[in-house]
Amino acid sequence: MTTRSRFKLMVCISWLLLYCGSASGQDAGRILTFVPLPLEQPEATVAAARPLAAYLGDQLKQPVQVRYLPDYQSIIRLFGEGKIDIVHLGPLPYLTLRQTVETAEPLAAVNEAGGKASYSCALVTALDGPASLRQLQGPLILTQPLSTCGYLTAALLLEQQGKDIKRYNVSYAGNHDKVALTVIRGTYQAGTMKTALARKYANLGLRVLAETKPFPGFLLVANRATLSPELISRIRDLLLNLPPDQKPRLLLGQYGFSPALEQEYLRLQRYRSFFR
Amino acid sequence: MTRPNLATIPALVLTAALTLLTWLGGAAYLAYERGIQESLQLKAEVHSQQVAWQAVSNAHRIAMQAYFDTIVSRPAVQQCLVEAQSSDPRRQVAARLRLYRELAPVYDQLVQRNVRQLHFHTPDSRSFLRFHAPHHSGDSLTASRPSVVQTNKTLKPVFGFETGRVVIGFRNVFPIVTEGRHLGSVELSQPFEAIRKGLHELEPENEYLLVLKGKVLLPKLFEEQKKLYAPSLLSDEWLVEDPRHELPDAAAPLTGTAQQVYAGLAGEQGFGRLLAAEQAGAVAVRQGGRIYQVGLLPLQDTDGTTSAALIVFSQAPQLQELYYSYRINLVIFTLLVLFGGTLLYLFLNSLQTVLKQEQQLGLITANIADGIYVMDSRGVITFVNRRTVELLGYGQEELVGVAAHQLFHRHRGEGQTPLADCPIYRVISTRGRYEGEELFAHKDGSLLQVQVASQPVIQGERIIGSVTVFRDVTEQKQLEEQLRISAVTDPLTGAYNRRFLQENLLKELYRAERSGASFSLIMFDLDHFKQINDRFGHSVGDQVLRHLTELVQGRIRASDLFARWGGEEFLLLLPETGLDAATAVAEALLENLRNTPISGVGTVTASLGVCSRQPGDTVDQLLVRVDRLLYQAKQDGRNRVISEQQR
Repeated sequence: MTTRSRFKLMVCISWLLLYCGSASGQDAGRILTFVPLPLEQPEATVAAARPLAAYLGDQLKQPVQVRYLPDYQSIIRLFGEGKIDIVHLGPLPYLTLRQTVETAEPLAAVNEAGGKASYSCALVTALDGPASLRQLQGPLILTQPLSTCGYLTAALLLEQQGKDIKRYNVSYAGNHDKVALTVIRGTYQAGTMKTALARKYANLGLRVLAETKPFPGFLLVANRATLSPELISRIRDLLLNLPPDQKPRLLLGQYGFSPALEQEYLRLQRYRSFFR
Repeated sequence: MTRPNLATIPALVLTAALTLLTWLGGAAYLAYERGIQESLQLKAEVHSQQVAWQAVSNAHRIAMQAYFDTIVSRPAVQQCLVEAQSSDPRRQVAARLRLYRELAPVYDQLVQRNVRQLHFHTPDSRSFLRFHAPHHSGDSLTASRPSVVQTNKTLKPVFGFETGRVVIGFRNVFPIVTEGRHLGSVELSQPFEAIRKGLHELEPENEYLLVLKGKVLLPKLFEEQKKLYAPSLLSDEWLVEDPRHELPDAAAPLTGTAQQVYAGLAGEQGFGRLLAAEQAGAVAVRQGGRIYQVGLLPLQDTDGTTSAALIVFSQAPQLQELYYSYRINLVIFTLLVLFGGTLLYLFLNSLQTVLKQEQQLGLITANIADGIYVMDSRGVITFVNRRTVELLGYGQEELVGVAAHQLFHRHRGEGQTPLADCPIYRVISTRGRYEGEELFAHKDGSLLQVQVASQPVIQGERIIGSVTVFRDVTEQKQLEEQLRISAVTDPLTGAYNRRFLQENLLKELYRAERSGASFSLIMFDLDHFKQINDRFGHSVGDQVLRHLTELVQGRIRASDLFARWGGEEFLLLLPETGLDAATAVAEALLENLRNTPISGVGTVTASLGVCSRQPGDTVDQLLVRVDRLLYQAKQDGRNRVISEQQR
């Protein structure tokens, strides 16, 4: 090897080291932005996400802020713009995000009360609403167009009764709490929402008319455009190996996390025909 | 214990100590005054904040009362509440649903008006329906909400700040009684943020922060709500809601400076004391070169428990001005003290110099061999030194306050003179200096010959007295007289010596030439004096010479001058005496000598020559003539007088 070729090799190695150093250091000291899923009212949503954000911040030695965004469209847009580092999403919004933004990488699935990373959605009505799905006339109030417990749930459950959702007037409340309260008010005959959340409103007479089979659980998704692979790996490791003594301190994640199995989410692709 | 002598402490040290003490005292006073003013300002600020809080609270209460009247007067609402009294859970759910449907639109409007909480309670103080958290109901409020318990117990509205299970704010709990039936209570409350906005409208320049007491708040909150609170920067005991302002309707965070002041409050002891005592007050905090007032208003729950505190941040231009004035005053005072210190140093330095001079003067006057006394303008003694006391024999107290002239001044003729003629006193009127010899009277009456030097003491243009220094020269004068006598007398006989007589003879000759008067000379010599010496010894010979001298001096006039001319030869000068008279004197002297035996020797004789001055005589001529006459007397057989007449 000549002197000149050795010099070129050293320059290349230096550039490589410099690049690796800057790539691994791009997260250092920066405030990470975590956007929770707008399932409930803002106070409850932020309160639920805050302990997990604090835990990650402590472990990463890097502050993590919670940012409340009211709709999925905003979340997907800002994620694509690199303004969100970690997002909490349902399975269907995740598929949409994945198709829109290539840098979305699942971290872990959020376990539900039973310890499994799956949940169901329900079609709900008020105390004085229809006794069964067959009597359902509409109109319907849904969470959000991209929500798993939104249009998809309503279409699936109505299809099971041989009904076509296109025959119903549908509107969107924005989040699951608003669906529940709108139905309770009687403005809409029924609505769709996460089953576990619907149970909270039994004291106001909210009833479950029908329930879906379990969907793969909610996900935490990292943004590769803003987070280094090392940091993504570190976060995933923290979530999947959550110490037992940490769980009681959390709301989001209080039942732990499971590995996000890509194929389970990809199976939801077949439901996309409902949206065409 | 010895007292410090002012003169021995260095003026610089004394000045520095006094200046420092003065400055410390003054600075402490200025600081005290500033503290008083600051305290008044802070108290006024606290009072203002309390008034603002009261005003906003009252306005809030009036508005809530109006909302309550509107809501509860609805028959549908009252019917729902009546149905809610049922013990059947399903009927209770149905009643809750209808109540929610009835008032949901109203609640939407209330939310637009910053009313967060519309909460119905059962008569036994359980939650019936929270419009702000409708999925939570049926829980007991007995422990967390004393205002609800009190309202349902007394059936009277309760107003006041209170923490709760979801909302923290100003509570207005109204009893619901329809046709004498107690149906429970309802609460209409605005969150603290609404109160804060109201306060901000009254005092736009102020910023507010609500801190909550953790041990009061946390046991009340629903589990999900607890996650919204975090320890404040003051201490872990006091919490803040949504510290990262992550909620969509989060209150605007404190501005940068107020945030910095807040961050520094944990180390502010005065504020820490107020917070620990849960006492309303305010402290002044310096941040970025500006003064801020931080007020603390403890907020009590309706049961009197302090559960929160309102912290008010505001700039304090009055305090800024107060501190500026304090600094200016301190600088001016410091400069004045330094100036005064300089003057004091100069004065003390001068004083110490004077004191040293006084000490030195005291030592000098106490130890000087001369007497010193000071008189005032009237001649009265105001000071005497120790030597004066010793010389005059009077005690100091006998001298001071007495006119010196009257007491011991003696002048010519040893008698008194009028004061105006006293040369020592006259220096006061003449502004001159007097030096001379005077006589001072000792207390025992004896006289002292003194050498006096006196000069006036002048103060400005005025003579205020004189200082006189005197020295006792009595012995010196006596010594001088002895020396003078020794110089002109013969030590053996006491008669004048040859030189003295020659000088006086010349003077007498001049005088006689001027006046034409006559004078005579007698020269005589003891006969056979050698034989006396040889026979009886020289001491006897000396005795004979002294005998002769005494005999002659006993016979002559005071104006006559008798001298030993040499050996056993004597010369007698008789002024104003002619030859005859002189001859007679010589005869008489010889006769006396013949008739006066000398012990151990017997009588002796002498030979005498007498001459008188002739015009044109010189001293030598006179002496030669008288010597020849003496020689002739010897030649003629001794024991005789030969005058020029006889010759």
